[in-house]
Amino acid sequence: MPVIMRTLFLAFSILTSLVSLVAAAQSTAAPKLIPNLFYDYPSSDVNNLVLGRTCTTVHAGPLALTCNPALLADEEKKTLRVNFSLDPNFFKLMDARQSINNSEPEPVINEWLKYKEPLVSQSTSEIWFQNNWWAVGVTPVRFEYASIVRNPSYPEISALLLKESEVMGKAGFTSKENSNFSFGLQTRYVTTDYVQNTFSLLDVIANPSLVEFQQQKALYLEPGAAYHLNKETETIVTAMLSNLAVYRSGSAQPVTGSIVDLGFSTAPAFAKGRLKTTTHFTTREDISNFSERWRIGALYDFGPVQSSVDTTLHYFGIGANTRVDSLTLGLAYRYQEIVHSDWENSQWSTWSFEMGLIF
Amino acid sequence: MKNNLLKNSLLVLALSLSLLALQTSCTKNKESNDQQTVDLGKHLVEEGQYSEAILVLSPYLQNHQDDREVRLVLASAYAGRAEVLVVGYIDFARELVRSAHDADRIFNNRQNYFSNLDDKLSRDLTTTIDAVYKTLWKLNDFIGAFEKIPTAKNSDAVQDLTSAIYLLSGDSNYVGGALLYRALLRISLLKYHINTKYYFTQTQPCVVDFQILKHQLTGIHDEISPILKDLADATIDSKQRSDLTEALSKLDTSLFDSINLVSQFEQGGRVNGRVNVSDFVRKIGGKCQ
Repeated sequence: MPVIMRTLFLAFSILTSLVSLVAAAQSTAAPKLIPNLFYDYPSSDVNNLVLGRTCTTVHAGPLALTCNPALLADEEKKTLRVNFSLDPNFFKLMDARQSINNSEPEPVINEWLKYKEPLVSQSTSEIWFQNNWWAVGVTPVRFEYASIVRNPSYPEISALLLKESEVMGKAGFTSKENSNFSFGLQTRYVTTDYVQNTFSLLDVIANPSLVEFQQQKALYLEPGAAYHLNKETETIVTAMLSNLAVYRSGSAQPVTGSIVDLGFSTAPAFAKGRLKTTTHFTTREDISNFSERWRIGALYDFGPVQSSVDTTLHYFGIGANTRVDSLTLGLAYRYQEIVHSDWENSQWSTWSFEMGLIF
Repeated sequence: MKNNLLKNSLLVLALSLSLLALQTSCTKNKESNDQQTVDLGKHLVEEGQYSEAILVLSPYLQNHQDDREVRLVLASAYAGRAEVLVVGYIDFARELVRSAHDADRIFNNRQNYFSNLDDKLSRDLTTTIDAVYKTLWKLNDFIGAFEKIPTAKNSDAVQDLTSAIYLLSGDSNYVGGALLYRALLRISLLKYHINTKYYFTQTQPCVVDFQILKHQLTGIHDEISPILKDLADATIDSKQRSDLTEALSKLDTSLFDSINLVSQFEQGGRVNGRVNVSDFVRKIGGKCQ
């Protein structure tokens, strides 16, 4: 193996060790009983939404942008896509916002105090262009929300609300010394306005400044690597380091820590296509249960329909999208159980819809 | 040389993966028995099983007097069992905190109804009765839509409300929402007492016994003072707290002045401790019962 490759491999190993140490030291308190949406991999495509961070371990289908930049190295795809996705809870939130703006919050509060399960909403608009080994993209707005209200006798609210805009570029390269090895780099500049807190309703009434938006601007450099063990079956070992901020301004605390995603995927021929399956491991610092760090995902194309499924200990997602001429349509369903303790847990599920154009 | 570098790389990678596995296999939220007890108590409150929650959390709090969170949850369990939920206070709580902005409005109320009387005694009585009623109107204005306040329905619920207030008084470091909660529970208890104990607000008294009136005004004052203090202390914003404290102190002073005025008639003396106020009642549109 050439020296430069070995050196890069050694460097990557050391970096992984350091990240794992730092991740252990910085234990970011996740919001209670609601999904920690900060750690979702940013994508509006329903299949990538279903896969979550598992998307970093496998080639995307013809309609989506591959998450791991290293995997772009051997793609032959020239695509321009404009995409919008949202879910039914988005309209509920807009109604609530309207009521609050009209100084009529009581019906909203009374309504939400009746929900026993988390209210989750994610909606995104994005445009990206891929030309084989490189891609650029812009996300004008990504809106994510999660909240839960507990104890009607003395309501306690866990809430997470974020609005992001992002500019992204990524490229992948195949090593000249060894065509089985590829590496890549993704850069993202992200502006995030967010609020995340667990508070009592009466505390907020007594002190409204508790609910105060913070802003963070960050430039992330996210390297990826992939090694093809078998090109015929597309058996690949992957690694990607995400959320490595080389520049950050705004709120004192970083929104997230760096994450390493490791994967093993294979795509043998199946029926008339290829069934891509992957096993994914993440170092997300907000996950305490070791079993939940592992996920299994699969992608399969039924002609014009691309489908996906992903699962871990307390999560299940399934999705599909298709193309009709230049129009893309997609639908996904996700379910998650959040276990905080033997007695504190919650479940949420949602449908997501997407629509866009592709050229 | 090349093989050594490769071996070193693999060794480092193996070590780093092992490190990852080790540090992630230790769960961050390893629960002690105490934490399980607290979580169970919260779960029972969440499910509306307030009596069971009280049974679980009371012994825990006895051994962990400094646990402010559990003290608050236990208080909410008692309040929940009394069917006094924060949901019932939502719009009321907002108006309370905003009432500092309406402080001036509260005190621009009733005029003197008896300015045409010449007799000094009548004028003194008028001043006294007017002060009392003005105070009660101010109280009603301040409380707002009185009927919207949730309150206890029976003596067992009153006992639970009292227990909740007692628990919240057990920690002097509460701020913000906890103090507001205590104030709201006290208001619920006051409403119950007004409905059952302070009868002069339920009927239009046409014969006033000043000794009883002074006793009941004193009782109301003793219940209101801590409410006013909690409301002021709950407000975090310093300017709002200052405005609210000023408005509330005026209300408190008004009530105190009423008691002082009533005292001059209490021991008999000028009117033998009792007076017929039917004229006054008619003039304000009321009826004698």
